[in-house]
Amino acid sequence: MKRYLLILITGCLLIALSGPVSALPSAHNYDCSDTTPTASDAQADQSSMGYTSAWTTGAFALTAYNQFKSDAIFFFNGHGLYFDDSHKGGGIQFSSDSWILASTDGHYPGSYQYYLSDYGTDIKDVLLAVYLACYSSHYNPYNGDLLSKTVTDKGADIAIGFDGEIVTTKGISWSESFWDRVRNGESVSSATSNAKDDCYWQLPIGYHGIDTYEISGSYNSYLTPARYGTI
Amino acid sequence: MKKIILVSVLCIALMISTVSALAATTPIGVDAAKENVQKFVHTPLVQIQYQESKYLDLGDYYVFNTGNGQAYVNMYTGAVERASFTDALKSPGNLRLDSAQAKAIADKYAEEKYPGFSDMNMQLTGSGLKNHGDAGSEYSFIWREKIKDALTPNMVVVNVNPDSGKVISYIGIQREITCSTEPGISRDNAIKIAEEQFPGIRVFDSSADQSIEYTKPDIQSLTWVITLKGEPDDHVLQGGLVVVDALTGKVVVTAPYL
Repeated sequence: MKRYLLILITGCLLIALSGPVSALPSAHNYDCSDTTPTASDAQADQSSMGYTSAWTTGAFALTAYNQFKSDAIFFFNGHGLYFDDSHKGGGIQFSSDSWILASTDGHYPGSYQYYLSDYGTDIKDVLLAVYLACYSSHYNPYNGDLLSKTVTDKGADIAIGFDGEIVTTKGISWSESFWDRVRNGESVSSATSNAKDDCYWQLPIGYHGIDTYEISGSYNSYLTPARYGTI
Repeated sequence: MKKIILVSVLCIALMISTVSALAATTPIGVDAAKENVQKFVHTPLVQIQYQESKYLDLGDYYVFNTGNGQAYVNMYTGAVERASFTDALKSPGNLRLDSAQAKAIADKYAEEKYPGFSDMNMQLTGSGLKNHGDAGSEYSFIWREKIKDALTPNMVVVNVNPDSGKVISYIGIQREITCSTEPGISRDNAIKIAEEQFPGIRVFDSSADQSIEYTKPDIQSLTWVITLKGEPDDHVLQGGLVVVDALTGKVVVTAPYL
């Protein structure tokens, strides 16, 4: 009898200890160029919203690719893919010339490539993916389209990307504003639009590509309360 | 007698100048700013809530939640210099404005909200339909005042929903120009300085605009704003944006492309 009681108490303790930790949705944030401190800023805002959030500078693509599978929120700020004006977009660059790409038709940029198309249902419960990079919402005949691959094909709830060229300072400004605004209760759509205008009147005056943002999926959603995306 | 009149006139002049100086350096206060927001957005006063104060290089602001977006009021002039309207982001899909119709709405809004819009040398420096994917699209119209060859911080931005004709957001800045509008550095030299920020770049496209910018709080500087696009390296676009002080040639900002 005592033995059963002990097992029961131990079981309850384990559930009590592990329950809250595993229940918190996770978020990962990546700075990959001269973009610091956007990943750590985003991490702070996500933590205050209730996400178990981490940030990294200079991560390898495979690390991010594997962590993506357990993420509610994935945020990348770095370089986008550019072959030439007719073949741009569809990829984001991590350290050691490693890439996460939407797909491939036989073109393999960089030294290491990991494809969203190879996921099964792994990122179906992602709530939001933000690809803050040049051409990250642009369709590339070689390597596909990050937004449609993330949301339409793989089932994530929302993805944000940019169709044009983005410079580091405006990217930093947009990121700081966007995460601050969603933390304060704005919808993804409203925060994206207002963060765009926050960038306009900062040095130098102008949007400088930030106004080319595109949102796929449930753009009117909120990030609070902290949760995973719908399956 | 003449001496008394002279002293009186001097005293009055001193009082007027002191009051004027105080008006320029004393914030108008949250309550007065809130009333200005009410006049601007035509929302019941009770829905307008003060959110925070923001201190930017081009001005200090009271920020309000209007229940349907935000409004930024210049702390010293009381002017509403920015507003956004959340309900205008929604696209009912029953109307599709063409560019001319959207511009007519933006023109009317700018004239209504921006004092002296028609009297200033405002140039349409940007316009077009921006696609935001599933979140819809917006027509964006941007005017900036031009003095000689320099664009000033005096500007109007009006973003219009093509499906409803509603204004999504507005920015309207009006400042006295206090810096020189004569560059000491030529366009070619400025581009050369910019190219030096990206060693080895092979430029295939570039632009250079003279622009008066706030480079520090309340400090205007005439600058060259230069963008350079370079041939890719490791499948990444090279170059970016460089801001060069047009009087000294000093580099103020270097921002590579992502």
